[in-house]
Amino acid sequence: MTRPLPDSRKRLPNSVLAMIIFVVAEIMFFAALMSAHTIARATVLGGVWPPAGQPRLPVERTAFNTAILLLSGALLFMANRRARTSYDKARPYVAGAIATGIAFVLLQGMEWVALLREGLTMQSGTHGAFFYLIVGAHALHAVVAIAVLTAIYFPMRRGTLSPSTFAATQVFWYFVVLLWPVIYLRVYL
Amino acid sequence: MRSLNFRAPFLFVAASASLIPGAAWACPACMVGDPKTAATYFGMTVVMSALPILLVCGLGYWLWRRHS
Repeated sequence: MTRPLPDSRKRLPNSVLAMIIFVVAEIMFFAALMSAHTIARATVLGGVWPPAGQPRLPVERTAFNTAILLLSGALLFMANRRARTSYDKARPYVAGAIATGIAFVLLQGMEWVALLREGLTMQSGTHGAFFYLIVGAHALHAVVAIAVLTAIYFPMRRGTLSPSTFAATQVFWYFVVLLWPVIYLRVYL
Repeated sequence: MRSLNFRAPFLFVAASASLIPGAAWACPACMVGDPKTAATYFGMTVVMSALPILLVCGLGYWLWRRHS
């Protein structure tokens, strides 16, 4: 009597579970940063945020950046759907997710340059310190996630990419994508 | 069962002791002054206390549902 094959829908690969646990730890890291930011914002003298004399953050331009990053997440989701039949069909979507991710990081970098010219630095006050710490920590995660997405693109092209590696990478990228709107709402608005 | 009998009075006394103080004003910065500041501290304390529990329990429940 042959044993039935394990149901692939039920088996959770170790790499995906490890990535989920890592993401849970990262959520706590960002929650701590945003908790400190919320308290600093509530306790600022005069009750006005950003404090007087500090530059305002570019809300509209960053909303556009947010849309680009969400599009990147949507493209990777579509890549996952296509990957169920063939990696060849999924590849253009992964390339699109990488390109939009790079566009997000570059546009954020341009925003940083403009803010530095306006005088917002890590030393200019709590506003600048929290802004660069929280947004910088997210940017670091975005850069690492883009590097990982790029690293899986080539084995995907060769057809040697394991589905569990692809799934674990997606978990990390969805974390980076879905965290950003929360940061945008808490830090920019 | 014996250990439960031993623990029950201890847990009852410990739970009752938590009702004795009206409030612990441990941190004057948190509770004195602007009520909005106090509400922010309280809200963030609740979030930072509940979030890890929700995340770990949510992950555990999801895994249990997936494998049961």
